Formats: sequence, structure tokens, C-alpha cells
Amino acid sequence: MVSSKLALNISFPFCYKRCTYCTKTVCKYDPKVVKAYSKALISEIENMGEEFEDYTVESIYLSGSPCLMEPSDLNRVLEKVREAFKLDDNVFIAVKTRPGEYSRAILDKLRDNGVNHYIVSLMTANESLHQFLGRPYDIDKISMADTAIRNFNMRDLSFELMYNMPGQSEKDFDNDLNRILSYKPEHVSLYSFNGKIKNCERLTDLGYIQYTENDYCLEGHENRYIMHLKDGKEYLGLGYRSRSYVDGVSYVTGRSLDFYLSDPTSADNMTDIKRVI
Amino acid sequence: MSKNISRRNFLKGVTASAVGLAGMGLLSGCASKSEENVQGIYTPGTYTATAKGMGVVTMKATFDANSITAIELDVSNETESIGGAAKDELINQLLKAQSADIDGVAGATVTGDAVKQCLENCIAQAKGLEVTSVNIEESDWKVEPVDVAESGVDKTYDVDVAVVGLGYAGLNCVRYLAEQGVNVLGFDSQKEDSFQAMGNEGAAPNSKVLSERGVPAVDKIEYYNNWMINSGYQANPGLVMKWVQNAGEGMDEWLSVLNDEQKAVMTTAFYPPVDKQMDHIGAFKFWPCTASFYSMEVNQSLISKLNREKAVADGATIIYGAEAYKLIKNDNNEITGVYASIGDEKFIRINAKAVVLAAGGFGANQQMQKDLLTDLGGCLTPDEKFDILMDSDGKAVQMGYWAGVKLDSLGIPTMNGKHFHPGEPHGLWLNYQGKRYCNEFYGPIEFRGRTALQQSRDHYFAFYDSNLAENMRYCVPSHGSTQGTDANVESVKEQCAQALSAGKDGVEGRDLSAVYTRYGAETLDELIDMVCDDDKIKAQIKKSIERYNELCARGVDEDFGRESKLMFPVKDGPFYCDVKVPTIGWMMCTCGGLVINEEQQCLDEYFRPIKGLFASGNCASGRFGTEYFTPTPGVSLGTVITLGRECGKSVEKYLNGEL
Repeated sequence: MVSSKLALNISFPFCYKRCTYCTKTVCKYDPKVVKAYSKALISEIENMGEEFEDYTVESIYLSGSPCLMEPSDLNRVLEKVREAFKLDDNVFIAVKTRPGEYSRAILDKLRDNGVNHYIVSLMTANESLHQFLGRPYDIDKISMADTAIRNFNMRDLSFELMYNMPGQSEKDFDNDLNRILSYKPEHVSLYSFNGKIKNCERLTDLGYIQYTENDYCLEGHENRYIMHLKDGKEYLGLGYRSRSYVDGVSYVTGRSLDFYLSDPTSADNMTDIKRVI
Repeated sequence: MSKNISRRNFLKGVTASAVGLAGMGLLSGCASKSEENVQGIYTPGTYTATAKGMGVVTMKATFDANSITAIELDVSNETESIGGAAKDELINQLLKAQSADIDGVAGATVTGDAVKQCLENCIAQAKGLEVTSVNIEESDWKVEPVDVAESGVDKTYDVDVAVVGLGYAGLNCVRYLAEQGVNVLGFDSQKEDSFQAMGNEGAAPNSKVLSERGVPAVDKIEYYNNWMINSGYQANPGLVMKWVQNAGEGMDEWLSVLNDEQKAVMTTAFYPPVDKQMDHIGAFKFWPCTASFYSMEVNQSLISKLNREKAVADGATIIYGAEAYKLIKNDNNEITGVYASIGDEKFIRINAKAVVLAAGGFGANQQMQKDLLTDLGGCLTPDEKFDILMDSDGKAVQMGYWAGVKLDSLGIPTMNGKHFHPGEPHGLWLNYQGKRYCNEFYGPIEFRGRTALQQSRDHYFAFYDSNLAENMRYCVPSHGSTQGTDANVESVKEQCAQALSAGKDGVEGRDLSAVYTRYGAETLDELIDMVCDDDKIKAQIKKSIERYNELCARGVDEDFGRESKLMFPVKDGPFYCDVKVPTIGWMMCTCGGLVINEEQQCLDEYFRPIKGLFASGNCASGRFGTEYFTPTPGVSLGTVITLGRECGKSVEKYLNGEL
């Protein structure tokens, strides 16, 4: 039997506050709730691993704010993924991080569990724009992130920046770009604040390949999770408010956080179910 | 739908509304559009959002609990020519759709998109951050706090041993290690100038300080075996033997910091023994070998201070005002240090080859009491709660738990709490129904009142006759007991006389945890009328007294096995009765939590030692088993003073690779 290819999106929808541009479901960060969430997630992973045993996982995306988890809990979640699913030898594992969320312990756990693509969600290093976006960390954490990145020697680094913000000048954006380019990242994602897409010639001039509207990378450093989705292949969401597309059906997990925490594996937990044509 | 159906099987049956792949909102960057249509309840209010159109668009949207009620738009910055009509049309469309999912207005696409984005943001703001109302079973205290960022570390210490807490256990450990030339650092949350040591007296069998006062030596094996009988063999045998074998040395060292004049202040509880003082009740034995310091000047706080000074003189580092935060582990789960908070979000980091947790019980943490004192907690009525005198915050138990130390599930001892005494053991105790229910003079004082835990909390009675004061001469050296000295006997006589003259008002008395009323009357009938107005209970009281007197006359307690010589009848007037409502849940401290072995190494969930982690004192289990008991007054202090020092010896062995 040829096993099908699957991508996993493991969602950690917790945050201290909502950024002004964010329209997603965000749950208030509370260590107690996050702890309970990690337990629920583990039982969902266990359960879904059994149901998808005929698949091989090619890529994994730890989305939201996984680094707000306790290192030991994040470790347990990742270990459970390895145990419950069949992973490709060359599996791509991306993690979303924000400045100020790195501790040595977290980075150790990520590395130990084979994470090989670090996304630093910076958006901007400009103080007033940072404030305008209402980012959930102090801007001085950016310099702490510098230290963490350098000390830890994080590789396959991806930065997220935002453009087309009200009040953002060309120069502001150039400064942000200069800052991230100093790390020589393998990957850059640029998001338009108002949805109007502008291609970044500076990046392409530097040898970055633009492979989606938003994403640029050095050759061979595509985000393989994004590529997987772009190719229309199946993906499985794990965790509250994660979207799945499997067996020709698309759905979102979790009616409410309450429901998810009390019964994470239930079929009742699937919402927004659509058959894909 | 049923939760029993697997999600995949459920998916196979889906024929619901169809959508193209592109419509699923596939790629999700942080900035992507909403991919969900969650039915949300809004937080009513007005929210503002800004988005970039041609210029800048600003929106104020007002929400009630379920809908968007009004939208104001400022598009004056837009260079696109959108008139008032287009603006109104956009607002109309948004209000009608109750979402940003609208067609927009021809000729104003860019502005329309910005307006939509503004509304999406306002909706998100109105939804706020989702919270859960699910009762999270995990208690707060079980959640390990976040790591300390390097920038938060004010100072780093590199030592051999870090000791968390400078109470009796921690300080004796620090002192011993410093004496051996080990690089040791101890810290405590107390400030130096107001540092207090709780408690007054410490059991010290076979100490020189006591033998100099004539207190006889104690047979160690007999003492040990009696201890284990008291514990129901649930105490840690090796640990208990360590205490018994080294108790003399432990106390002598602790008191070695005092000069002769200060030592002279020491008293020796229950020694010399009084005329009818007993050394056993039934199978349980008692020894008067306690060093007491009840002086205002020479007290345990002073002794602690002098010992800290000695430790520092011997090379120890001591830090005050530092609160334990969390342990530091390496990849192999070995403990390599500890963080402590020094206020203002600043921390110190202590790198150590071994850490000793000695920061006391959890008297100040109600959730921990509920979670850990399950045996006693299960006995509390809805009106009762834990009430603990010593307010240690339970940090040592928490830190151990976070580091993977097994928690004691067999029943954590508490000093008091699990028993209730209606009165003196010399009397006859009757419950709220007027029935006798236990051996009032059972050996260990802490066990006598246990039966009351699972009985109604209405008034209890303790009946005595005119011989109460003289009977008080029968006593054992035990915590909370009164020695039958002439002075004490006189004082009881006086209380009785007061009660008698107070008539039916009675006289209020007070013991450690409760207030009671003592009544006195010439005849039993009179007395019973004073303390009870229920005829049925009165009749039962009379019957119980009759039965008890009959057993006393025969010298055999067929009902509850009380010692013959301690069967004091209630037959010679005047008579007295204490009336008291049980106070279950009151205690002085908790005496356990972290499971340790006889070397005081913390054990993991497989009951194997965790490398580099020790626990001593009230945060650790093993001294008493499941209930505190006192074959000698002051065993709590006595054991921790000695075992703190012994812990230092174990740590020393560990550093030398011998453990």
C-alpha cells in the first residue's frame, strides 16, 4: 500500500493580547489553561495518529505561539507527534516564534525534536509601527531575540515583515529589511497590511526566489509546509481552531475552547465542514 | 453526532455545502484574512480600527452583545473620489451583512477593501480574547513558572551546594557543610533583621545538654521501635533510625553556639518526672528528653541567628530576602541549580552540584492543602476549612513537584488537625448523642480524638468528678499534655471552683484551637440539665455515665480498652463538664509532601533518586508516616534539627560520589 502524504498544522492559539491587524480566534494566555491545552492536544494527537496511520507526514507547522508553552509540555507534544504519526525521514518542521519568547530551554526542546525551520514573527522593528500593530511583546525584546538567535545559531531562519502599514514610509520598510538581512535569513515572508501585494525587488536582486505572493527564499529553502498546501495536498489540523483538509473535506477543529479542552477528540468538535470540489 | 464516532468515519459521511479548494483560506500567515466563521458573542462597546486605503481609513464600530449596531467612517484622507453616498452605501452593506463580507461600491475598490479590513479588526476586538470556563483540574501550584530570561538574572553564584530555606533543617545542613569546607550557599525569604524561628522546644534523646541536667539516656532501639509502632510502620525506617541514632549530636551541635549563661535558661519539659507521671500507656512509650527555650531573650530565633553566624564564619554564603523561584535542570533531568527572586523582577541564579529543598510546609497555600491533605480534607464538613498556623507557602514542595519529585499520597502528617479532644483525657468523653465513642486516654495524644473526624460536629461533652485536679497527676511527656505538677493541679482546682460558682453560665476556657465552656454543679442531674436540653440525649448521657462507672468499678474497659489505672469514675460531687464544638482542620503545620529516601534524596516517579536534589524538614515526607505523634515533646523540631545536619552528611557523600 502506498501511503498518502500529509502535512500537520499544530495550533497554539494563545496570546497575551490581540494585534490590531489580527482577526483570528485568539485565546487569552493563562499558564493554567495552556497546561490543560497541552494535555488536550496530546490526546488529540494520539487519537488522530491512529486514524491517519495510513499517511506519512512530510511537513509540520507549529503555528500560533508554541513557545508560550512550558518547555517540558512542548517537548511532550512533539514527542507524541513522533510517536503517533509516521514521519518522513526528511520531515520539515517549522515553528512560529516571536521575539521575547525564546528561552534556552525552549530552543533546546525544539532542536531536540527536529525543528528545522524557525520563523521569527517580527513584523516591524520600528517603534511607532510596532506600537501601532499592538505587538504582544516589548520592542526591546527584539534585541534579546538577536542574542538568542546568535547564541543558539538558529539556522534555516525565516523572518516575517509587514508592509503597506498606515504611516510606514519606504525608508521604514527598508530599515526593517536591513535589520533582518543582517541575519542572512534563508527565508523571508512579507505581508501586506492592506492586502495590496507589492513584490520586493530588493530581495529578488539578492538572489531570493519569490515562490508565493508573500514568500521569498534562497534556493532549496522553501517552506515545505506552504508548498504542500499550495499543491492542494491533504493536511491535518491539530489543536483548537486549526483547519484540516482530508478525505475531500475541509473543517475547523473546535467549537469553542471550552469544548476543545473538555473533549478534544470528539467528532462533535468539527465545525465549518465543507466538501471540497 | 456522537463522540463515539471517529472523526474520519464522520468525514466520510459529509455531503454538506461544497466549496472550491481556493475558498478554504489555505495559506495562513499571521496576517492572513480570517479563515473562520465563529459565532461569537461580542463585548459591547465601540471599537476603532485603521487601515490603509488610498490614504488612511478610520472606523468606529459599535457593538451590542450580539450585533453591530452602528458604524462611523472617516474616509476624508482618501484621494479616491468617494462621495457621501458611497460611504453611506458601504456602511449600509456592512450593517446588513453584519460582517465584512460585502460587495462594495464600484469605483471605490481600494477604499472598500480598507473599510472591510477595519470592520474585521473591530469584530475581532469586540470578540476579545477567548477564555475558557472549563474547570481546569490542574491546580495553579502545579504549573511551573516560566524560565528566567538571562537579562533577568541580577547575579550568578557558582557553589557546590545550594540550600533553599534556613529554618531548622536548612540551616543545620548549611552549617554542617560549611564546617566540612564545602562551598555552600543558603538563602531564605525572610529578611535578616526580622528573621524568626518558630517553635520553642526540641526533643533531644541522648544529648549531652540533657544528660548534664540528669536526664537519663534513652535506649535507642526501644525508642526507634516505639516510633515505628506510632507511625503504623509508615515512617521511613532508615530515616527514623538516623534521627534516633544522631539525635543527641544534632541537638548538642545546634545548642553549641550558646554560652553557659544562655544555656542555663534551658528548661527540660516533664523532667524531673512528677509522682504519678507515666512512661507508657498500653503499648505506647514516652520519654522526657526535651530541651526547651521559653525565654524572651534566649529563644530559638536567637539560637538560629547564632548558628547562621557560625555557618558564615565557617565559610557559608547566606542570602536573605530571596524567594525560591524554580530549580534548574540539565538535559538528563539532573538538578544543577536554583533561581531565586530578589524582587523588582530580578533573580539570582545559583549553579550548584546539589540543591537541598528545606523551605517548610504549605500552610499558606489553600489549593495545596486541598490537593495534598486529601485524607483530612475528606473529613471536613462544608462549614470547615483548613486553618494552618505556620504560613510557609509550599514553595519547596512545588519546586520539587515541577522537577519530577513524587508526591506523598499515603497521607501527609499535620501537627494537629486530624483529631479533636472534648476535654482532658482523665474524664469521660461523650459525643453529641451523649454516647461514649473512644478510649479517652489512648496512648498518643494525637490519636485519641481521631474518631471525632467522622462524627457530627454538634456539642461534645467531657465529664469529670471532684477528683479531676488530683487525677491530672497521671500524665505522660507528650506534646500538648499538662504535667501533673503541684502548681498545675492547683490551677485546675481553681478553674473548677470558678466553674462551680459560675453556675449555669459556665466559665470559658481556651486550648490551642478552640474555645470551650466548663460547667460545675453539686449533682450530676443538675449538671446535665445545664449542658443539655434534649431529654433523649440527657437520658443517654446518664446511661453512658452509669455504664462507664460500672466499668471503672470492675477495672476493665470492655467498651474501649482504657488502662485500668486510668479509669477515673465520675461519682464524687461536685461534678464538672466541658462542652465543646469540634474544630477539625486547625493545625500548626504540615509535615510532608516530597517523597525522599533515608539519605533525604528526592525520588522520582519510579522512586529512584533524582540526581542533585535533596529535601529535608517539613517539605519532605518520611518522619512520621501519616500522622504526627509525640513520644517526647518537641519531636518536630528535634527531628528536623538532627535530620538537617544528617542531610548535610548525605550531600557530602553525594559530592564524593558515594551516593
